[in-house]
Amino acid sequence: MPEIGQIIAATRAYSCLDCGKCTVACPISRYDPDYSPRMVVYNATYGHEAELLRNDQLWSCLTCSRCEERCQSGVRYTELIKLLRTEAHGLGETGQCTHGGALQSLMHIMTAAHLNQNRLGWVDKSLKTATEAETLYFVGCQPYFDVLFSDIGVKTLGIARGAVKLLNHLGIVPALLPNERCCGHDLLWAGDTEHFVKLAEHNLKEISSAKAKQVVTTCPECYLTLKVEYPRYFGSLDFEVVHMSQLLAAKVADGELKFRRSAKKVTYHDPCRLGRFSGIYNEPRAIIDAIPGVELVEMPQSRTSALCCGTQAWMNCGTVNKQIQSERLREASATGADVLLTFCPKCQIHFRCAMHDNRLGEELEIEIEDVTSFATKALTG
Amino acid sequence: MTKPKEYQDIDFETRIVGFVCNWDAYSGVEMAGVNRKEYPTNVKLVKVMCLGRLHLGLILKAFELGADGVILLGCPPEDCHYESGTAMAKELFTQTKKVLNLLGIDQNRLALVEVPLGRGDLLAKQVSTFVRRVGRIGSSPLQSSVEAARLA
Ligand code: SF4
Ligand code: SF4
Ligand code: SF4
Repeated sequence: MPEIGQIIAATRAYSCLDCGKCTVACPISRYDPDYSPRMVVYNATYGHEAELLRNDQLWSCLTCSRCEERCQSGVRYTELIKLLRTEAHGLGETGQCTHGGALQSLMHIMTAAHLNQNRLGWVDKSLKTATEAETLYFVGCQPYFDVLFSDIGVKTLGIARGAVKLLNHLGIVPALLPNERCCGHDLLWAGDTEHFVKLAEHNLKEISSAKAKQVVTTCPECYLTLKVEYPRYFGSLDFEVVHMSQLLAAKVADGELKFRRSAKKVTYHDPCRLGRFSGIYNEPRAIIDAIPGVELVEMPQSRTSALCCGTQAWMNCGTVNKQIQSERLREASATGADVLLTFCPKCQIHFRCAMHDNRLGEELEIEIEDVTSFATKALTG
Repeated sequence: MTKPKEYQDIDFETRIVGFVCNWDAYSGVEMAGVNRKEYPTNVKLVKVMCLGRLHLGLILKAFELGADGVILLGCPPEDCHYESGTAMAKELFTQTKKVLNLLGIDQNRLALVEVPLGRGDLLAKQVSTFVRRVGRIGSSPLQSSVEAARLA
């Protein structure tokens, strides 16, 4: 298979010095001694295809990029994993779907040509939205998450409502897509480029018919996928992609966005796609700092060394993942914060799931909120 | 295909998946066979140990693969062999309907029915009613995409 050679070249795997820093940094390796990113790179460079592609561990990587952050040789580890998964997917390999494959089926169903979704039921009368507008709010799969994970108290639609409220407050009436599809992030990272492309095509068509020039997302995965992956498949976009953190931070800096007092001690969890993948570390913190009375206490593992929320792409979630999540939640509690803030609906789902542990539940309990909703509550007037 | 007289009005092209509980509901399937109670052949039955063992992923998979309707054949609550199976099935039914609604798939494409022990007549009747109901709604909006994928 010549593709493997190209993958190695494209991801600089040949530059590996076999130093093992990646394995030291990897949260999976910490709890599963059999898992080693160094060995993956080794097998890649030595052409051990079977070990790479027919290996359950290929699907366990969190694609969190902590290893990549440490690698002095510039090996693009997460890209290597993504491309290897695409190859393996072509051979009929796949990871262990979580939730009985419900999310995979949802994503597949959303590739259908003729869908007439009812995904905007959350838009209440107090929110101003449009069908066409310069700015579009890309909601993501939040309407679905709230139904799928209602048993663990997931309410991500609060993020969506907050987003529209914040935009309205800033004088923006955003367009919403009645037939938005999943952005395809999780299919792409599971190696299923075929379905990914279909989802992307639908979304690009919808966005263009809404005449949007700027697409705002609250989900970092939607942000990264639209901004970085769509152009790789479809060429440059005729709209700009912005994460809510960037938009709000700019408005705070301009003095256009002010908050009222809220006496809370908080800590902030950097989502991988926002932090290490997009370099957005300062913006969320600038928003938090702009709320008078709020004290931000950092966790030891923050910014470039932030620990992942523990799972990815609705695959291979087990005890190791729960250990990572427990470590993160304990770390958050140890700061003495009242609230664990994050800027990603999925981080919130996975953490809430971990807190639902029958045995550890109480020990891991901490209030968790998205910066979008947190900022909405502190709006003046 | 020649159809029994009472099913002349049923479209046998309708694709239906039925999940059947191993206990009361499946005894209904067996009794329908023993007593020659006919029901439309376009229902593909999948036996599970309990409807409480089902989950959203399995039902969505049936729709993803082009099913026009899914019927869940369970037992009366007081007969459940695992005590809480029927309650879990009800919760799942409600959750799945919400997801179907979000997707814009007619919620009437999903049904949950109780079949008491040995009631083959009732099973045949429930299934036929459901096939008729789905037939009236028409083929699934996902069907054309499924066909396209099959031909590709
Ligand atoms: S950190 Fe980089 S150079 Fe070191 S073993 Fe890992 S991939 Fe190779
Ligand atoms: S991306 Fe994250 S989980 Fe995957 S090998 Fe690197 S550090 Fe480990
Ligand atoms: S952590 Fe996330 S992926 Fe894992 S079981 Fe919980 S909700 Fe599912």
